[in-house]
Amino acid sequence: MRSHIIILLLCALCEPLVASREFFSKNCTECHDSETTKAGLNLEELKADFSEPASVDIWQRVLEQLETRQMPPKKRSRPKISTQEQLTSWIRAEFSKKNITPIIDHKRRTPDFGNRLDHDTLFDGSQAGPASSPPRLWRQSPHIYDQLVKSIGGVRHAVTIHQPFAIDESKGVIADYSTQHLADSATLQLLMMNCKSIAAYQTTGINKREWDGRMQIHRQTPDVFRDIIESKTAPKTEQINAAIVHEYQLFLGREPTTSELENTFDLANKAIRSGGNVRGLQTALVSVMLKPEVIYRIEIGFGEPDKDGRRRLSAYELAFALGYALTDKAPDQLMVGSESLLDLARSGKLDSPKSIRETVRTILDANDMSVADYRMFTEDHKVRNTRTLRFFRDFFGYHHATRVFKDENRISIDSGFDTKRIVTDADQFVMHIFDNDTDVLRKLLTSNNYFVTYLGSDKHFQHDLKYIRENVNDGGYKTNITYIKRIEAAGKTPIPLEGPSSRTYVGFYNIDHVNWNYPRKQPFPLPKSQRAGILTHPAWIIAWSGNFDNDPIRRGKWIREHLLADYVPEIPITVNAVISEDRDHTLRHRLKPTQAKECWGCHQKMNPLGLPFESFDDFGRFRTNEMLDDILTIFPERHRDARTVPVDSSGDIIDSGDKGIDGNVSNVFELLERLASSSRVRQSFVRHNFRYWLGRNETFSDSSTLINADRAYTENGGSMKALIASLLSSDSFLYRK
Amino acid sequence: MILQRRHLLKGLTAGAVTPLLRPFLNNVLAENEGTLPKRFLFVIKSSGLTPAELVPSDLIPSMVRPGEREDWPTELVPTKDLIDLPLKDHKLPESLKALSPFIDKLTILQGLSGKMCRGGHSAWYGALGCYHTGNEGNPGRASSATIDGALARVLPSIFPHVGLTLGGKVLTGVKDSVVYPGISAIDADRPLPYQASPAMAYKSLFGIAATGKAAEADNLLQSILLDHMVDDVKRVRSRIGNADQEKLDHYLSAFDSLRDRRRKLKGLEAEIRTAAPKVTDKFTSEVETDRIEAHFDIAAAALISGISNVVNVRVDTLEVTYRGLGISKHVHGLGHSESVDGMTPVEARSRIRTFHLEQIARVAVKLKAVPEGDGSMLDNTLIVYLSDAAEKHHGSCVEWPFVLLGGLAPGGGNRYIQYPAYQQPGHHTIANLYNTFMHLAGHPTDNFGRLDNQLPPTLQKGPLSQLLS
Repeated sequence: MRSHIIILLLCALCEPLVASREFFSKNCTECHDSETTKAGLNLEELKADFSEPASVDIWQRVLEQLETRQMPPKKRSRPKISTQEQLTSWIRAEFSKKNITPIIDHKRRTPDFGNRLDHDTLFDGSQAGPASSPPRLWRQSPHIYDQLVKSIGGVRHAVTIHQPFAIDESKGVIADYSTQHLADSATLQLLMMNCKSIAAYQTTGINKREWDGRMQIHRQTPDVFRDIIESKTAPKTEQINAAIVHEYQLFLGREPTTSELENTFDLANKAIRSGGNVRGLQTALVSVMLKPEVIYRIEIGFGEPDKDGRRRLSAYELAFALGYALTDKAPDQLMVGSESLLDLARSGKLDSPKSIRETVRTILDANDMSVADYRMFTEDHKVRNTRTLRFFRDFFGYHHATRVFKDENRISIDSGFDTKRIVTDADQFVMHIFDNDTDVLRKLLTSNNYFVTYLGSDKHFQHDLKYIRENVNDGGYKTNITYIKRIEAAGKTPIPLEGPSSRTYVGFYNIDHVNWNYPRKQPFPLPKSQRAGILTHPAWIIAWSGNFDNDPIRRGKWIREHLLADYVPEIPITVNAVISEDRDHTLRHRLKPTQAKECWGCHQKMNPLGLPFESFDDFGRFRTNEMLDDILTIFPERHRDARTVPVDSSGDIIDSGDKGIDGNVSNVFELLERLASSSRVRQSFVRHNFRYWLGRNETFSDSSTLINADRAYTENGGSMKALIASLLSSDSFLYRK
Repeated sequence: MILQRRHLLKGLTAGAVTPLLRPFLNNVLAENEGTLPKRFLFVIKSSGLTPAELVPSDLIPSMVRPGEREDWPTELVPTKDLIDLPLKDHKLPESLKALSPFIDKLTILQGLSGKMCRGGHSAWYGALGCYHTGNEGNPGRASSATIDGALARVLPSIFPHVGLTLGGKVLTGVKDSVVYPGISAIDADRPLPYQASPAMAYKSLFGIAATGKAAEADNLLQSILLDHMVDDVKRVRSRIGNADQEKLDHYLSAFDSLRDRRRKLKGLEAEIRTAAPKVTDKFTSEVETDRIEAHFDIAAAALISGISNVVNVRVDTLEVTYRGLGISKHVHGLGHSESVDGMTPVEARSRIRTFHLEQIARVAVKLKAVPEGDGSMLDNTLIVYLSDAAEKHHGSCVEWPFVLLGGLAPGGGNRYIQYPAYQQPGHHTIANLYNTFMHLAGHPTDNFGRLDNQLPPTLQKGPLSQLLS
């Protein structure tokens, strides 16, 4: 009997290894054997030796391919998920024995790994697992920190407050993931400096020399602090406690617990005895500002566990999670109707997904286009949908237009190359579509209703024009007046911008700044033959261009990754990607070397999607002819004798994952129209939304969340607000496990 | 004013030696016992360091040949034998001219490879860590300590590792805050931060000393606060269970190390004040070259004051434009062989390299002026100049050139060393060089990072004996 048990045990131990051989021979070795060794991989000779680095490297790759369902390839019959999971569990167990960290666990946490998960598996309904997020600490965003500082008053007028939570922004990447950022000693150094400045501002004030040489004290001292700092004797217990409670409310949106109050009181008491009332109080205030809860959003799931072992976010956690998902404000400062979001949560009014959805809609709807000055989006937080705007910026990357360096020889001082203004136009474009909330993605990709120098309202227009008319101190006053008079005499409306060089920027929309009749009501249609959606907006075109040229490869890569949920392997290190500078030929022609056999496998995923944008120059102006030779300025009109060739804007959608849209396109507008009609593109948009609003990559267990969000979007007529509400009321958002 | 360590020691009676002065005095005592402190300054440029351009100019005809590709106009003639020449017998390359006063301390090191790394625009942590990680936009995982991190651990100081930089990740431009460029780690999954703002770097390194006598009470309050915070973070940590505990551990250790640092700094204020750089408008300038100069001033002061033994200057990133040098195209464009302002890309890159080496020379002058042992501080400080992209803009890592200045073995320097080419007998890798650094630091290791599977493991073990002799 005993020997039987031993044999059984041995079999159980050998089984996974035998199973892996069987699995490989059934599913893998046709391509990855000693003969074909596709991708340099020979699984026939793979040893189950987990102490050998070379073998471990291969097992790492096997684990990654299986867990992301990239392999075996879709075109082949695929093994059962349970069979696959047996093998991956065994690999993980072997790794664990040798203390090896699966590399995929690290990669999975990074933004650029998002698309590695097989798209069809996410949306085909085959994944039934209950959704949840891991319990987590999410470092505050730089924007939340800014808002927190702002809520303290005008401390920034008196002293520099450093940004301790900077995020390294990469173009087109949703970067604020909970897994990606932490607070360490470098963060703490900056925080300490800030906290000391804030504590001084809240007590004795900060002495600052003003522009006219006067010294002035800046401060905002609550009465409960004043009682302590102005007292000549040691403060009473009640006074110290009142000060602590005040600071807790300000920084944490809640009162301290009994033990927190006791601990902070002890600190304050000790500090006051050592350093006097003022310094002692300041020390206690700093201790509250440095609490982990101020640095991290703590989303552990303090609610009761359910049958699947998941814990719901507590009312307090939920209020913060929702508040910071939708705004930069803490939930006690975010009013929903007559109640704060925190009060709503505490009184049980956010207990059901339905009530959460309604609250999310209320918050999103609170921004009304008719009263909002769209310039505010980038400048402060009066308009609540800054978080939505940031999604669009992260997703499309168009705000990087300001960071693309253009050769100074090409842009002279009066060129009007005002990328900041172009980005504001693009902000208005996307937010207007968001506000209208119908067919959002389609409009983002195809609408020709643009904003150009829109000031937010007619009132602002009149105000600015009046200012220009009356600003006699401006060096260009006479020119401005001549311009305004000439335009108005022609029965048109002048551009409400001061100075001819500012006005010339409208040229990037192919608008003639000299004679343009400025539309006071915006958005207004630009020619359909020239503009379709944000990807033809000068901001996006410039953001995704080089110093001298368009960048069809990265534009194509952007479409492949952001709209088709696909990925492009990174460039092999042996390849030096240099585009010939032979300007006798078009850029399309100069990219021909990428069609070589060894390059085209990847480049076919990008170039044919990016080349249709050759209909625009690298400043975003629509064109039908491409200039050859070295171009010394950006003004085509100064190069009438330049050699030109007609623009070829044809392209191709290859292997998109949606057969309905695959095939040649004759120009950029056909490309965009077709992309806008695709369910794959819509689902890719949903996936990127998920990452932004939840701050992590999706997993297969989030499948139901994604499907529901997609459904919410389509069933509500292409409503992005419904999509967001669905995500923020999903199990993935509400539960932790 | 220059620090006169011996003089200071003589002026102190036994009774005057408070525990607060101990870290500083440890160095002084070590000096008397013949074990001089070791320091390292890593200067890391982006976009590759071209091997052919480091060859003494009189040797170019025999050692350099035309490259086959546009981005690779000239290349080293591969050698089967070790080349080891005295630099004094040859003409320094134009861009290294600023180092000629220190030729006795200068080593140009060629022919090492780093094929265990990723290459491309950056090998990320691999460049200093000898392993494959990351992709085009992201550094990936730090799977173990990089050499600067490893040295920081074995050469403890108040600021174990000082990182100064212009930008963040390799494809970004100038920043003004704390960033993680993804090239340094003190341990697995523990990336090291870099300060991008010279003004902020000054504040955090030298600010403590600037508080002066009035700081007594502040120091006491600070320690009360730090004790409280350590307890507070620990309480939260116990409440949240296992979730993301690592993040709170980082936060906790930040308070711990701050507490520790303050203890060590106490009493050293005067010394630090003496060595602290003079703050000029370069510290807040938006001109890239100004900021770089400010960073080098800080680097020198951090080493001279003894508050750090390991300093890294991440001297540029690919989106940086050297406007101060009259180059109006960013490093990325130059790396892609785009010409600019009447210069060829090779000329523009050379101008940038020259500027970097001039900065290194400025640091060397300052170090040389501080007596230490029988020589100067430069004898005990190794300055290492390299690129995280190895030998070119999209590095292949088959060659990885270095310029070394300062404290190698006694009598080290005045050498041009070129190891046999990749896969030739006698070839070595950057891992051997990093083992050498560990030997120099008094903590010999024979293995660093991962092995290159295409090379015999024995070649990759141990230090480079040429540099230790």
